[in-house]
Amino acid sequence: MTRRSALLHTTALLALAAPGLLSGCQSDVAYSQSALNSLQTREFNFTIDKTFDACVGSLFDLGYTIRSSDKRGGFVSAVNQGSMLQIKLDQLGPTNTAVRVSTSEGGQTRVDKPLIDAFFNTLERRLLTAERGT
Amino acid sequence: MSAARVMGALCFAIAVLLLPACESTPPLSPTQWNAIETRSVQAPRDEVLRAAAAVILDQGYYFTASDQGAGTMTAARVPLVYQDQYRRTGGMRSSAPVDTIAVWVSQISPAESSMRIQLRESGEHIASDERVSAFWNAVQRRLLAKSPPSDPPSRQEGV
Repeated sequence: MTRRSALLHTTALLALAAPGLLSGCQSDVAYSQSALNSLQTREFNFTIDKTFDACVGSLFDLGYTIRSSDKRGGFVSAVNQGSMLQIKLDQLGPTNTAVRVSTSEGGQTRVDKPLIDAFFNTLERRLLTAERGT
Repeated sequence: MSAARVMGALCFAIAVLLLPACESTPPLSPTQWNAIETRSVQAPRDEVLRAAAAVILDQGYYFTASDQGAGTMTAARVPLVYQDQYRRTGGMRSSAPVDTIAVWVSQISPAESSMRIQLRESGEHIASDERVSAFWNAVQRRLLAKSPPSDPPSRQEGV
């Protein structure tokens, strides 16, 4: 009887712990070079100056703190509780800028698609708001 | 008896799992953060940047990043409770929690700038309207102190 109850106990605890443990076993998706590039890069029909300012604003909006920045070089990196975003801007034309976002966590590069999408959405909203404001 | 114990363990585990969902305040949206952290200053961008840099030093922070072109500055200071840990684990390279301030100044017009002030305490993002306003006031005081004196009243000659 005592063994049975101990077994019940163990089974119940294991059943409860399983989802928690399984979520830690999330495996990273392996992206090809072109898939990664298309996931991380977007083009905007704005000058590099406006796009850079909107990138900085978006980082603030998402609660990131600028860790290093070089407007002339078109580079910004920002951190938020162990997660880091790195942004590289390239001028493709007078009013065309490519933005590449790279994410990392705990010092390791890790593709965080929801975060990349959230950043691009915020950036797009900022650029459109700035355009309407001018 | 054993079934009751199992039920008790189950209830406790479910309660522990559900507790994080009981947060009293929802997280702020990017627009709300923007409203809390942004202030307007009646001065050119570069002047506001210089004044903000002076206020950051006045408040005991040390600079960790700055970009004049982008108009951004980030600075940190070590809270009293973590000073021992900070000293023992490599000083400025230590991973001891620090308070940070990040300032972004952008130009609205030649005589008006927008200043965004982000505050973090031991890594946690702080939504404090009062503290942002206090920093903004300090920057404005600095700007007033730096502004050139107004023209002296014209003297009437021969009087």
